[in-house]
Amino acid sequence: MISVLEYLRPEKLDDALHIMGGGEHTPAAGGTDLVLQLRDGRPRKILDLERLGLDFIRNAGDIIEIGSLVTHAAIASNPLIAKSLPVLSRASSLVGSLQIRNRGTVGGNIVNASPCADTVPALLLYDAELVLKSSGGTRTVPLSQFVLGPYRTSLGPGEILHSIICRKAEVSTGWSYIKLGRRQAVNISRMTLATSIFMNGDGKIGSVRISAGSVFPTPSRIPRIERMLVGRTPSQELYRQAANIAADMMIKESGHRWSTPYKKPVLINLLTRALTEAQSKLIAGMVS
Amino acid sequence: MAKENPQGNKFNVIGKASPRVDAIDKVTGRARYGADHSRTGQLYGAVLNSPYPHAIIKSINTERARALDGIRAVLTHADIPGAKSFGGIVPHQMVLCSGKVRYVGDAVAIVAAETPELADKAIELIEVEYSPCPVVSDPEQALSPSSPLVHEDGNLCAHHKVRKGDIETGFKNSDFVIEHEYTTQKVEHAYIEPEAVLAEPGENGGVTITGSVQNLYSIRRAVASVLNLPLNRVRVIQATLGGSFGGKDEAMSAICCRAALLALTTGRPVKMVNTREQSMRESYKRHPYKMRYKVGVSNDGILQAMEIKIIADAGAYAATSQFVTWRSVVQATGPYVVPHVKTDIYAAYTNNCYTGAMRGFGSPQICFAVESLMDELAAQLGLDPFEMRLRNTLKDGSITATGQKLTHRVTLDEALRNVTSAGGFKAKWLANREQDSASPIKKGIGISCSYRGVSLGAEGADAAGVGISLQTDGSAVVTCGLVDMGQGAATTISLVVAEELGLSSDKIVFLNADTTVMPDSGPTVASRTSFMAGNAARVGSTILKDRIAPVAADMLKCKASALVFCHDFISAGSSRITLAQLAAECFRRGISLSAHGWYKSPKTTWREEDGTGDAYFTFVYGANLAEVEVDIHTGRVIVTKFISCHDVGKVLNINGAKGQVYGGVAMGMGYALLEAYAEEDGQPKLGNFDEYLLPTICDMPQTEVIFLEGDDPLGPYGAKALGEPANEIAAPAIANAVANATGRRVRELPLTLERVLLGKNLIPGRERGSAMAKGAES
Amino acid sequence: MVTTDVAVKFTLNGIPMERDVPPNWTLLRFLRDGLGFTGTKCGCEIGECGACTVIFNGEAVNACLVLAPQIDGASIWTIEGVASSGRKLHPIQQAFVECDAVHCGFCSPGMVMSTVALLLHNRIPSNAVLKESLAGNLCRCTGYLQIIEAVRKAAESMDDMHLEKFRR
Repeated sequence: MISVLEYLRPEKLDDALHIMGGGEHTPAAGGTDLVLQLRDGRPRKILDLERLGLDFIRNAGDIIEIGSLVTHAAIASNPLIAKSLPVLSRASSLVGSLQIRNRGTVGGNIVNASPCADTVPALLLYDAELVLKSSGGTRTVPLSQFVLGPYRTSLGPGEILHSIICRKAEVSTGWSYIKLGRRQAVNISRMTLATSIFMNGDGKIGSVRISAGSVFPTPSRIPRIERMLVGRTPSQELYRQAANIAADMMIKESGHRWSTPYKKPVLINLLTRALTEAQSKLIAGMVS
Repeated sequence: MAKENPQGNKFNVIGKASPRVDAIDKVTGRARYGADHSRTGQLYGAVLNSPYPHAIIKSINTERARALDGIRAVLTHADIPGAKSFGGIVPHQMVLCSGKVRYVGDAVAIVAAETPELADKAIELIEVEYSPCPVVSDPEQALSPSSPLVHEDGNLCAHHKVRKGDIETGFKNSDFVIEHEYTTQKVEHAYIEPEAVLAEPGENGGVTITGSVQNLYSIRRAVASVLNLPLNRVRVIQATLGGSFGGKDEAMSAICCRAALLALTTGRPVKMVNTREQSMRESYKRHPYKMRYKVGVSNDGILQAMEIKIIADAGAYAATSQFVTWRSVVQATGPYVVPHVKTDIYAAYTNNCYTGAMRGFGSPQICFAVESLMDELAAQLGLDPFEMRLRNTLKDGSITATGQKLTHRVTLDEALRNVTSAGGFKAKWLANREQDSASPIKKGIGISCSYRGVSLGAEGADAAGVGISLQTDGSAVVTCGLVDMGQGAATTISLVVAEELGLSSDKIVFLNADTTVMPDSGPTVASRTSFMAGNAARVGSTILKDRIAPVAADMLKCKASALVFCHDFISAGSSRITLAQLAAECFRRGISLSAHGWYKSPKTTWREEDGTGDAYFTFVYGANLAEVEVDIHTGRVIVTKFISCHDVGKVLNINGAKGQVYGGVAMGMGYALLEAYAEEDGQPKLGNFDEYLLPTICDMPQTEVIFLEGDDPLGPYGAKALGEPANEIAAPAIANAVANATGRRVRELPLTLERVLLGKNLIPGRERGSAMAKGAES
Repeated sequence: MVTTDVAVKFTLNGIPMERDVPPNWTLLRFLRDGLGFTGTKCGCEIGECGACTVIFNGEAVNACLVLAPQIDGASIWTIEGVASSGRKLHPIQQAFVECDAVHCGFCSPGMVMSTVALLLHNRIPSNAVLKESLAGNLCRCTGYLQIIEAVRKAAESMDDMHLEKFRR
C-alpha cells in the first residue's frame, strides 16, 4: 500500500535543492523503480524532478551531457547518441518494456543502483561522470565511484543527480552490448557485457573497453583485461584467454556463489563473443 | 439436426469464423470484470495471511484493529456462523484458521473498512501468536511414517492405481528395460486478472456475490454452508472473467466466503480484490510431479511393460487433487498400447501452496514424462522418434491401459503424420544430430502426442444446462450454467443456438452465468464446455423449435417438415416469414418462447480396486512439433516454429479453435522454458510477474494449426474438446527438440538456462541477487 | 496520517479536467476509483503486465507506475476514449474483434492502447518493431498471434485521421 503523504513538484532547480536540503524528501524521476518501493510503504515524501528542465541532451565537443531525467526511450531514439554513444543507445533500447522506457530515466537507473541496471555498463564504457547538485553546490564524480554496492550509492543527503557527462566514442570504434535474459524481451539481465574496440593501423588492438553488469558486486569496467589486450593481435584464443581471466576475477571479487557454476562458463563464452562481435562490427564498418 | 441451408452448405454458422459475442464489450472497456463492480457505500475487505507455513495459532488479538476509526468488522474463525471449512472433495480448507495454519496463504483474520488503506492498516494491527511447527515441504518425505502431519488423519491425500496384465511377465518379455525419473514444477495459472469479488447483503436475508468465479455452484455451496444459509439465498453471478485456466475455483470459494461473511456482518457491500502478490501467495497451482518410469521394450520397438510411480505435491489442502491424479493414472502410459501396466500415483499433503485444477488437469506432467521417454527409447533402439511412436500408438479398437476398448475413430497416427510431414521432421531430426561444431547455436526438432479423455469421465456426475429465451422481435437471450472465462464458450453456445434456430448470431445476447437463473451444471473444466453445453444448447433449441414449428407451418400453410429455419427467416418453398413474426405469433397464441436444454453425458465406469473401466466416454488425439535454437554458450532456448495438430471432432468456430491452440502452445512454452513457482520450506520465493516469467509476444513462434475432424458420434455436430489438449503436449515437444539440438536429455522442467547448459538446476541460496561477497561486509 | 491532496489539471480522452488527487494514488487508481473509468485494468501494479497501459502525452505508459499528481498538465487517453462514439468501433478495435485477438479480454484495453501508441509513431511497423512495442503487454489466453494479425490489419487498413486525436 502506497503511503506517500506529500508530493512536491518544484519548477526551479534552486527551490528543489532547497527542499532537498531539508532532508525529508526523496527525489522522483520516472517513477518506474520508485513506485515499486512506494508499494512497500516508503518513502513518505516525494520531490518530483520532472519540471526542472533536466530532460536535455547536449552536444559539446568531445562530450555529450545527458540530463538525468531523459527517458530510456528518448535516449534510444536520439540520433546523436546512436552515433556517438552507440552502446548506450542499444542498452537503453533493451530496458524493460516500451512502457517502462517511456517513463524510466537514465538518472533513475543510475541512482537506483541495481546490480543489473542496463545502462550503467554502457555508461561506464564512455567514462561517464555524474554532476551532482545540492544547495551547497555542485560536485562531479565518476560513475565508477558512485555506485558503492547493490542499491547503495555515494549520493549525499540533499543531493540530486543533475546530469551525466559521457565521452564520445572515437570514430571507427567497434562495439557490442550483450544482455543475457531468459525471455526474448522484457528481461531482468542475468549478465550484461559492453565492449568497444579500436584498432591501430598495424592490425593490433589500439584501445579496448570492457564493462560488465551482474558479474561483480557492482557494474564495473575490467581494466585488467583491457590493459592486457592493448597492443595484441586479436584472435579468438586471445579473447578467450581474457575472458578466462575475467571469470577468475569474478569469483575472486564476488565469491563462489550458487550461480557460479553457471556464470563462470557463460562469462567466458559471452565475453569472448562480445569482443569478437565488437571486432567484427569494426571490420564491417571499415569495409563499408 | 441441422437442416441444410439454401446455399447447400451443411451449416450456416458452425465451423465458420465468427466474431466473439463478447468481443466488442471487451475491446471498448465496457466489459465489467470482478474488480469493476462497485456499490455506493461499499466497504473494502482485507485478509491477514499466516507468516508461517505450519504453525499452531496460540492467540489472536484483534483489539487494536477494532479500535481504529473506520473499521467496520474484524472477524476470525469464531465469527463464522456455519461450517468453518469448505472443499469440493474433502471439506477441510479453512475459511479462517483456528487451530493451526498449514500454508502461508491461509487466512487468520479478515477486516472490512471504509477505505483499502484503513483495511490494510487494521490488518497490521492484528496480533497473532504462533508456535511454529516443523515444515513438511517434500511430498515424498511427507509420506514417510516419521513425517510431521499436515492433517491429523495423515499426509496421504490420494492414491490411485491401474493394473493391467502382469508387470513381471511384461518385463520378462522385454529385450531391454530403461528406468528414468522425470520431474515437473509447480506453476501458476497467471490469469492476468487477479481474483476480485463484491458481496452484497441480499433483500431476502441472503447474499449476492458478483465476481471472477469459474465454478459458480461449488462456490455457492461453500458460501451457503459457511454462512448457514439455504442455497437459494446465496446468489452467485459471474462477472466477465479475465482468464482462469482452472484457477478460479477453490481460490474463489475462499475469497467469496470471506467477503460474504463481512457483508452479512456489516450489512454493507464488501469488495475484495487480490493484489497479484496475494493471488500468487493464496491461489492453488498446478501439481508438481515426480515420476518414475520403468519401461520394457522388445527389440522390434514394441512396448511390453510400464511400471510407473508418481508422487504429486497436493500442498496444504486436497482441492481437486483426487481428480487431477485420477486423470493422470488413467492416461499415464501415454497414447500407446502397453500390455502390462502397473501404475501408482500418490498425492501428499505438505505445507506448500496447495495445488488443484489447471489447464491439462494432471496431463501436462505425464505427457512430459511419457513423451520424453518415447524419445529416449527411440534413441536406445536406433529408431527415429516418429517411427518409435507409430509402432506403439493406439489405433482403432485398441485397448487402453485401463482396459477400455476404443470404439470411435482413433486419429492419433494421422495427427502424428500431419505434424511430421508438415514440419519435415525426419530429415531435420537426422541433420540436427550432425551440426557444425563451430556455431554455438544448435537447431533442434521434436515431436509429442497424446490422447485425452473428454469431460469429467468417471470423476462424477456430468451434466449441463442451457437456457434459451426467444424474444418477440426475433432476438434471443441465451445463458448457461457453464462460464466463458475467455475460452469462448459464450460464442460457441450462441453459435449452436444460432445454427439450430436459424438465427443470426448477432441477434443473440449471451448472459453470464447466474446461480439463480440456471441449474447446477457442474464445473467449467475438463474441456467439457463445447461438448456438454453444446449438446445442451442443441437439446434446448430442438425443444423450442418443436414448439414453434407447428405455428410456422400453420402460418405458411405447409407441413412442419417442409420448414427451413435460416438467416432469421422461416421458409417453405417460395413463401417465408421472419423469425420475429413467428415469435410474435407464438406469443399471441400463448406458446412459451423459452426452453431449457439439459444434457447428461454418456455412461462411464471405473473400478478403483484395480483401476479398470471405461474411464471416459470418448477421447481426443493430438500431436505437436517444435523447432528450437539452443545457444549452447548460455543454455538459452528459442522456439522458432511450432506445428499443432488436434482431432477436435468438428471445428465449431474456426477463429476460436485456432486461438485455443495458440494460447495452449504459449502456455506450454512457458511451462517448458520459463515458469516455476519456487518455494523454500513452504515460503514462496517470488510474488509477481517480475520473477514469475510468462512468455511475451516476442517469445511466440510462428505456429501452424492443423485440425482433424474425426466426427464424434456423441459431440454436438461431432465436436469434442480442444482447450486442454492444445496445452498438454507443447512442453514435451520443446524438450525433445532441445535434446535433439544438444544431444543431452533434461528430465526436469522448466528448461532453465542452467539446466540446458549444465544439465542441472542451481538453487539460489538465501542471498538474493544483490548480496555478494563485498556486500557481506555491510 | 495527514496527506495533502494535489490539485491537477489534465485532459482525459480530449476533455479538460481539474481535480484534487491524493498523493498516494497512482494514475491507475485515480482512473478506476476516482473517475470510474474501469476500462483500464489492474493486473500486477509493478509495470510488468501492461493491462493498465494508457497513452500519456502521446506515449504508452503503465498507469500503475505514474503517481496521480504527476498527471498535472498531461493529456491522457484511455480505452474509453478510443472509439469515437459508443456504437462505432475504432479501426484498431474492429481489427481486434475481427481477428479474434480478444479472448478473456483483460489484456485487451492495454493491448489496444499500446497499438494506438505504436501506430502513432510508426504507421507501418516492421514485425520486429510491432512485437517490441507490445512486449510489455502480457496475454495468457491468445498466444499473441491473433493480436499480431489484428495490429497488422489495423495498420494496413486504417486511415491516418483515426490517429489524429491521440496526438492532442
